Amino acid sequence: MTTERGMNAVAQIVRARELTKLYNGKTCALDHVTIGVPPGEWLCIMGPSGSGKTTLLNIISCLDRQTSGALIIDGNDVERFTPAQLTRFRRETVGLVFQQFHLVPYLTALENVMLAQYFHSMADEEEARQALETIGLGARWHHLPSQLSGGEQQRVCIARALINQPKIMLADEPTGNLDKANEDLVLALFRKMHEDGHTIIMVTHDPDVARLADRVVRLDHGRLVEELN
Amino acid sequence: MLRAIRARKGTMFLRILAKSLKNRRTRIAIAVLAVLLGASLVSALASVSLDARGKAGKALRSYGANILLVPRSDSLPLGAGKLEVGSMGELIQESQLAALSDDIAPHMAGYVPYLYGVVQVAQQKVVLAGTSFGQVRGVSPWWQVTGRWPSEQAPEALVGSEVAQKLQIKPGSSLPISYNNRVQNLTVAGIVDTGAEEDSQVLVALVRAQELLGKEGSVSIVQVSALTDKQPVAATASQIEKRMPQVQAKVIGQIAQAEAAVLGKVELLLAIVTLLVLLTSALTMVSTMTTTVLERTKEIGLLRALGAGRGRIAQLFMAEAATIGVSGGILGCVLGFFIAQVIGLTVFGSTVSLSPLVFPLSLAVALVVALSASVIPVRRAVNVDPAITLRGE
Repeated sequence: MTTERGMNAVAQIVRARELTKLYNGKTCALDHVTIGVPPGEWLCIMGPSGSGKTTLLNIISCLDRQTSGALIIDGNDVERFTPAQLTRFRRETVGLVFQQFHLVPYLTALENVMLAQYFHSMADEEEARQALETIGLGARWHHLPSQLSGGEQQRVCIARALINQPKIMLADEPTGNLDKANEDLVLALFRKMHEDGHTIIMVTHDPDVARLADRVVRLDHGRLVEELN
Repeated sequence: MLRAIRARKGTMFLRILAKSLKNRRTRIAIAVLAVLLGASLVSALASVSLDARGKAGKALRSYGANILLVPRSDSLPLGAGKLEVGSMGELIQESQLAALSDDIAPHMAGYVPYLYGVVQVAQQKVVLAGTSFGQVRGVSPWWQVTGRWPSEQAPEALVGSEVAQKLQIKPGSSLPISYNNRVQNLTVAGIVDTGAEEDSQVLVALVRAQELLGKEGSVSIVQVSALTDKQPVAATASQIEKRMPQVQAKVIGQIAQAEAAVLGKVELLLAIVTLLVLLTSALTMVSTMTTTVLERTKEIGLLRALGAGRGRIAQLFMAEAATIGVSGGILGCVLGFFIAQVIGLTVFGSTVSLSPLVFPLSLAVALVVALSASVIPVRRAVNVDPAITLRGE
């Protein structure tokens, strides 16, 4: 099955055609997946463990490359990029939110946000503080990740992903390690992002989270098997 | 504008670097210690080595003179002061020795004039050697004297151990010596044992010998103890001959060669020890940096995912290595200076002076060791695949 909704639209921010990913030349993680994401859409990718959700997200975030198939992001054929161009494209186009938060343990919340600015262009402490204020952590800027709760760490991660105004926000199980209260806080931030017009591609197991999305696609054994609006 | 961006980037980089180092202070401290030990030995051994030629040269002077001055027309078959009495002919004028005090002085530990003659002591023919006891003690401190050294002014003598044994002479004995009907009554101040020809001589103050032998203002030979740290012995010998044309300066080859060989061996030993210690420092540094990279694989993956290029990752780790190298280098140089003093005091009996070359040399060696030992671990760091590390594989 392919999901090509909007494939013909001019402003398609992500356009994947027949994406296939083989590990070690034989293990098929993605099997001819075709998918298009219009700008401003919130797309959820669901599926059982090992279905290829994270692999698809890694390829769209330019952390990994497909074995075959075409991937056009924001009008760029990323397959043609050199590793250095991919790195630059990633820092300028994509914001990443991980299930495990992945904050640098010896940097404060503020410095973790500034890190993304530093790699993008230049660190701006005031702007980073403002981003932490926006997600309700203005008073916790000087805390290390170990001094923050899981929900707070994930909010710092979101602030870091947003700080460079990326065109696409990619999130891999962003509420997977959170309790209900923190999940609500984090989802509220994603709703706000969506309202602000960000394109969100989110991997989740949680149907309640998926219900917030504009569209849900389901993967199984590397194939797209279902699409729900 | 570009400068401001660079400045802010630099500030953030230093912030990350400082926090990263602080976060692993124990491991970093071990690496600094390893580099410090290497650098301290480089510093100590460089100080000693640069100072060693002088110090060892002076120490080796204790084993005798290495240049012998004889009158130019003379052809004395001399070793290190060996004398064939019958071959004495022309003499060196004492006034000529003033030349040794000028520009030759910096290349000498000292010199000792000798005037020889054959005198009668208790119906026995004995070689009388007039010399300067003060200068002898400076150049030949190993002479074993039973009793005491004679006074230069009093009518006293130092009797060689073989002569003393033959004539049953002890310190305090009276010693009448005669030469061409001139008699001097001396008192034996001490018995000397040198293991060389002095053991069969009677030694008196130079002035006394000149008076008795009727050779005022003259000496037979001069033993010169030349320093080898700044120029070869042969160069000093030729310098002496230029200043004193009436004198032939003979290099005593055996001692000079032995001295050069000992110095060479000392320097080789120092170099081997330094290399081994530096190798150990480098291995510790490799181990520390490899462990650091392994421990931080996820962090590196994250930085790569956030858009850090390979160059940025290499820059961060190389800056950490450089910080370790510079810290270890500076501390090592200070420690090395103290180690050099201990070596100097223990081996040469004097402190070692700090050469201006030592600090930059130690720092450069520490930096090269730290950076070169980090090349392989850093290569590993820049090749971290963010997709794999962030999913925990």
